[in-house]
Amino acid sequence: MILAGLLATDLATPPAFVPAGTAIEIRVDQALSSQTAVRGDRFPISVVNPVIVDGAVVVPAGATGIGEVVHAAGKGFGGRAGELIVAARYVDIPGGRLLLRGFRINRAGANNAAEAIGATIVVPLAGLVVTGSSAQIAQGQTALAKTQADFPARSPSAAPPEPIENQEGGAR
Amino acid sequence: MSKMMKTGRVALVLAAMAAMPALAAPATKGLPTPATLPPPPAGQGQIIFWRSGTMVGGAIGCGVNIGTERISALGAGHYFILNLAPGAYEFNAKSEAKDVLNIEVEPGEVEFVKCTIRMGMMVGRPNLSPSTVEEFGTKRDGLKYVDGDDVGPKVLADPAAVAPAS
Repeated sequence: MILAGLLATDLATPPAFVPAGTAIEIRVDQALSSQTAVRGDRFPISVVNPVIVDGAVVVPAGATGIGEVVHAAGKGFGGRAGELIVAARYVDIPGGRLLLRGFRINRAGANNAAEAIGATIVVPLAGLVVTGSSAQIAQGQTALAKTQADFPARSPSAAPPEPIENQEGGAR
Repeated sequence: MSKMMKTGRVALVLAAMAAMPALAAPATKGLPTPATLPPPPAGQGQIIFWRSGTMVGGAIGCGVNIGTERISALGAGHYFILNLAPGAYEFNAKSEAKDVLNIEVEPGEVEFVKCTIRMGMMVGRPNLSPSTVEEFGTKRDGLKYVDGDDVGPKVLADPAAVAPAS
């Protein structure tokens, strides 16, 4: 009887659902530099604003996850600027792991190629030691990501489910 | 000064001159960039490669490759569009040195890559670097699509030729 009542409640309340393509503002929680980052490096990220579906918080603010360096190249001689491309991979929420896509923070430092060539015209070889600047992503930088696929999620704001009791009164 | 040093100095100056801006930097062929560019086909992503017409190195070509496969070549003041299946791609441009740019293509997303020419020992070195829609937007009015002989099998045909700019 109790079980039937709980089932009826579950059927009446549609599950919280995160549709594919839902925008989520993501914060980079670690400073990154093209001078030290290596492709494949992972770094912490977190959710800035909660995602609310049907009045329920399904992605809480502060939920943490992982980002990854897609491309990194340090600054170099000849005026070469540093380069950095990062992506958000996922955030962990109460319903499971929410895969992300479409998050891009692309950075290229200042390219000093013109200065390098100018220096070479004045003093041969001088331009070769002129470098560009590194690409930097500050801790706290934010950008939008999108959810990869439809994702059913329990609402962390809802009360945890009551244990289902059998007729003998023991917990199942 | 030794003969070798003189030769080296001449080579450096020639390399620097070759990398100087072209006198007529903006491209003169091709149609203007359309107001709206075609989005990637369903299930694919898109990369727009571009090269400013007013930057250093106007006399040097910027060949864009995936591995050893030539995709296209960007002259000064040109752009091209590449639609690709989702996944990770490693593009390169090389002259006396090889420059690599890793890009992840995602369905429905558009990425931007710019080519610049930086100084090298003997010739200018093409450099592929990440760009943004905002940066492309500041240059697009001065860009033309790559010439027909630079439209490889994977490169989208000039969208301006299909749908004239409005």
